[in-house]
Amino acid sequence: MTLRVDYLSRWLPAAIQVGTLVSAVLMLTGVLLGIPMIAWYGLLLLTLTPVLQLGVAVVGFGRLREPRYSLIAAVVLTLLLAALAAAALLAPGLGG
Amino acid sequence: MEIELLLLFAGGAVAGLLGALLGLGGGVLIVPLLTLGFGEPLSRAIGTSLVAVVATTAGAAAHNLRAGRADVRLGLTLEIGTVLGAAAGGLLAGFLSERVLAGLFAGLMAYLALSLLRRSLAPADDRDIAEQVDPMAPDGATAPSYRARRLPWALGGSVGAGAASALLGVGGGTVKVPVMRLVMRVPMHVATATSNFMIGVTAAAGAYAYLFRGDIEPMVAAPLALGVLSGASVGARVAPRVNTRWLTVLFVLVAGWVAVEMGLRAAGVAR
Repeated sequence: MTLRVDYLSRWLPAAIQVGTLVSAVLMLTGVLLGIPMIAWYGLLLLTLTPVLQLGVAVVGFGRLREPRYSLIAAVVLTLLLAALAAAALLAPGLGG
Repeated sequence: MEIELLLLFAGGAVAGLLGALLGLGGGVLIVPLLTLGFGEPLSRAIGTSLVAVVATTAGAAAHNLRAGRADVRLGLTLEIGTVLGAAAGGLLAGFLSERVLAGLFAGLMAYLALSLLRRSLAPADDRDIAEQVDPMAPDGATAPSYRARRLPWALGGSVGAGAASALLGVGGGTVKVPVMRLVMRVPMHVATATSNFMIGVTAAAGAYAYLFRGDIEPMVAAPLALGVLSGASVGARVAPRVNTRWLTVLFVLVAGWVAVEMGLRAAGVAR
């Protein structure tokens, strides 16, 4: 295993920062306006940042011609989306 | 209401700052803050903490990835286990009583207090040499090469780390780092950075169940997460210049007190 992943070392941090920034703006808007639903969507977006992160990993490893890790990232992404779907389907109602 | 929002923001900022300085995800500070400080029910505090943990790791994970310190390949492989564990733990938590959760959390805090106490009391020469590697040191050509071992065992441990994360509202680094270090023989600073990269994904997998179950109050979680984000960003920048020895001792005392408080709740002696 090597430490350097050049393409990913640029795009993975960018995905994390964009997701965090957009969700922070939504949360702040919800808190300042006193609208819980906007804050709730900000929280949801924050927890969706790893989805974006994994999407970048799937594409990134594909571009690095490492299909094995692209597949592993895709499996983790699928599991994460399945966890999201299971939570949404099994929950009695939305939060907020 | 405004004062409570400000207190939540301030509390989150302190938890984020201390978490970054002590190398913790922050969940072990946020859950006691919400339950013992703000009187939130434990299940709600755990869900809120999971969302805040995603925010805590965002700054440090981006920094480590940019520096090439985290082993993305290893992290992704272990994430198969942690996401499965976290998703199951998040759903299971809805069926567990507050007393059981308090007992589990008391056990975690006691373990954390003891392991940090042992580390802070050990003379520098006796510590694991890998722990003395500066986590902020440049890597690349000078980075140590290694080969991760015993993947099936580590994947099993990762399922446990994910379940612990979702059940207790923590990042799970307290399990992931020892698994990578002791089972896979990964260098300490790589294990820490890789764990940090993984924590956001693990915490998110556990948080969905709480978020959709309505166990997260947005007007509590949002100011707290914003505070954590600010505190963790500052903490990640000042961490290399801060001597954390006394901070660790202080944390050990707080963790010991939280373990006792949670233990009393689990026993039904305190509420």
